[in-house]
Amino acid sequence: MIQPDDDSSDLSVDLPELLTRVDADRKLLRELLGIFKREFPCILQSLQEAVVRGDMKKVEVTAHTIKGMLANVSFRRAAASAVRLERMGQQRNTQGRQEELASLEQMASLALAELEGFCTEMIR
Amino acid sequence: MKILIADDDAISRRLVQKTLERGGYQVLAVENGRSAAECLSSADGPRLALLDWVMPELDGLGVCRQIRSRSNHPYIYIILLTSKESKEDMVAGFEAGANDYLTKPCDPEELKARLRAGQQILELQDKLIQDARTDPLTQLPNRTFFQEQLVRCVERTKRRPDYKFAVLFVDIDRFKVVNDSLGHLAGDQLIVQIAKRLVSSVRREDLVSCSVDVMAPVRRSGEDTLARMGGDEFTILIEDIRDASDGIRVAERIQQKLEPPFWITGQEVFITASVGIAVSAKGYAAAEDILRDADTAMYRAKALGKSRYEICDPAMHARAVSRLKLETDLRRAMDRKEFRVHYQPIVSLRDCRIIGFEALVRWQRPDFGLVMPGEFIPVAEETGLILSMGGWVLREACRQTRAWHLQFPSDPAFTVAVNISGKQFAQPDLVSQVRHILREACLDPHYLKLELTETVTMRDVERTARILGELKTLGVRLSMDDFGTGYSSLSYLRSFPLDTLKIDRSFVSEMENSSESRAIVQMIMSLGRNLGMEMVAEGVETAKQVSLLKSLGCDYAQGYSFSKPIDQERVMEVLLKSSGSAYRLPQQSLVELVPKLG
Repeated sequence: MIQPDDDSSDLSVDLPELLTRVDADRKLLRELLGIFKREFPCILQSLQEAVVRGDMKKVEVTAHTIKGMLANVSFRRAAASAVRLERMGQQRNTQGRQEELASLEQMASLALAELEGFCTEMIR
Repeated sequence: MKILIADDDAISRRLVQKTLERGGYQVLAVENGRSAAECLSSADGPRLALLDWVMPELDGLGVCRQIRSRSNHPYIYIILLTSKESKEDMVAGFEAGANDYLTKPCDPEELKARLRAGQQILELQDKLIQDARTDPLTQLPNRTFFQEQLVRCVERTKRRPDYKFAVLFVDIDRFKVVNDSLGHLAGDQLIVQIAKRLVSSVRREDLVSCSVDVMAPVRRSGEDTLARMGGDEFTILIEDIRDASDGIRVAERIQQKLEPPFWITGQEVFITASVGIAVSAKGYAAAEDILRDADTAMYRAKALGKSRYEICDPAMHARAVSRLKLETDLRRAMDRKEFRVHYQPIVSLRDCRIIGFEALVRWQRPDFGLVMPGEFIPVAEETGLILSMGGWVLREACRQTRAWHLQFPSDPAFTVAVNISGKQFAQPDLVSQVRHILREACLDPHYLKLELTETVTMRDVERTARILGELKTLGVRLSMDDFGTGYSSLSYLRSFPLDTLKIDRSFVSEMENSSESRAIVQMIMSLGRNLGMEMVAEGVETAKQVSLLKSLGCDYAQGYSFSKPIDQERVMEVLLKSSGSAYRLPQQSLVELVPKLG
């Protein structure tokens, strides 16, 4: 379960957890990475639009979906940020939403870079 | 095993799919709730489902509710796999019909363990359903399953008028004898063996389909369903028939298959079956109606001698309904005092003097009028009502005869003949009952004649001789009724203390035209005289018969030639019109008297 204050790891990706989840199947890991790179930008764009509009109901739903996606690839810190955004949506709290979105984008970007790096390492 | 994954998150979908494929599941993956509901509704769809909660078009809870609202569909085990983590969400998930709840991201091992638990539940549930529809002894479908199939067929006839089916009701003849003699364990073994032969009897084009398939409860048309209803009763549903002849063919095949002996606990056992056939052609509104008609036809097959089949028709159903009403009314008749005793005079052929009466029961049935015994005595015999009815007739006849003795003294006094049925005769306290009734009526036992048929007396000759002896000691006179029609052993006849032989009406009525009947009457009379018995001819209807009987030396007669059975008021009229101490029927043409007296 992802907690909103889950910033425990120095790394943005919990690789041991992710490898357990994919049963150390590196081919599957690369496949999931591919899916993430294809799907994440679209859903992130929806979230960005909702945040800009202040449509907190939409923020809640979209952040929920993003949370699941990030958690599945063990982007723990980004997922924790998505949890916080989902909660803001639930509470219809517009305060600090853009900052939280920016944080999510940054952490997701870092985690993606880490994971890509790991995958590249694996190929070598 | 097939499993459905419904999730709009492509990563989650792919991750779970791969995990489950590794676990040996056959995975179907969809990305929204509507596709999930469709997939789970298909006939051979998966019975395990992993549903995400938040999905476009229809969410996971909506899918749960839709699936749980269906009836007549195999049960589906649903796990909600969601990022919603609150207790309230979990409760809402279970309330919507989910069986389990997992939060994302889930551990692959935990997911597989939860699915195994779900599979076990499904297997147990299937077994329960299978057991509820299967006869445990024969493993054939049971009554519940059969009725489900029947309901389906009846519904189909409403949609497709050209579709016909037949129901065969099979009952094993004399099964109780096997059970009682060889024991229930042997009886069960026999039922199992019979079931196997019946399975081969319903085989159509090498196709036997009597097994229960819970996963696909809708059966293909053209298959026959054999079920055990319980005890020694089986039913067969034959679908897509042309006419009743298809049912007859199966019934004949059943009888053929059951012909060879069965080996039960080292003994050879022969059995037969009675089969009732009902065909849907006449149009049934309810499944139980056609089953009832097949059952009725089976009982008719039993009544007509067993080891045969009968087809139910509307007339048969009407007869069954009428028979049921007769039985119900008959049960109430005693309390409602609807029985009457009529008396038929027995006269001396020498001087036309009334020497006594035969008491005959009639039923004053509301809306039906006076009903003759032939219409209700067999039912009274079957239901056991004959005991109370017979007792009442005996009491009433004795009371009435005593009253006549006081009002119309004669020398000798009138006798009263009362018929005793087989069931009455079999009562262990018959003699004490008769003694009690005579004492109650203050009637001298000498004036009571109990009439028994040959069939009743020959059932257990030793007991008959003993009971007749006791009745004789009591002072009661004994008469053999309908003599010549049943089976009699003449040597036993000699050992029974009988006073009277009554010559059956069938010989009397043929006397005028048949020399053989005349010879039989002559022979019976000769036999009776040699055994020191009185002879009474029954059913005398013409003057010529009277004359012939006189010429043969017959003592007494009764019949329409003298008087039909009349109620006690009319008996009074006849007796009051007679004069002196000898009561006679009027001497003018006796046949002409009938309308007057009746």
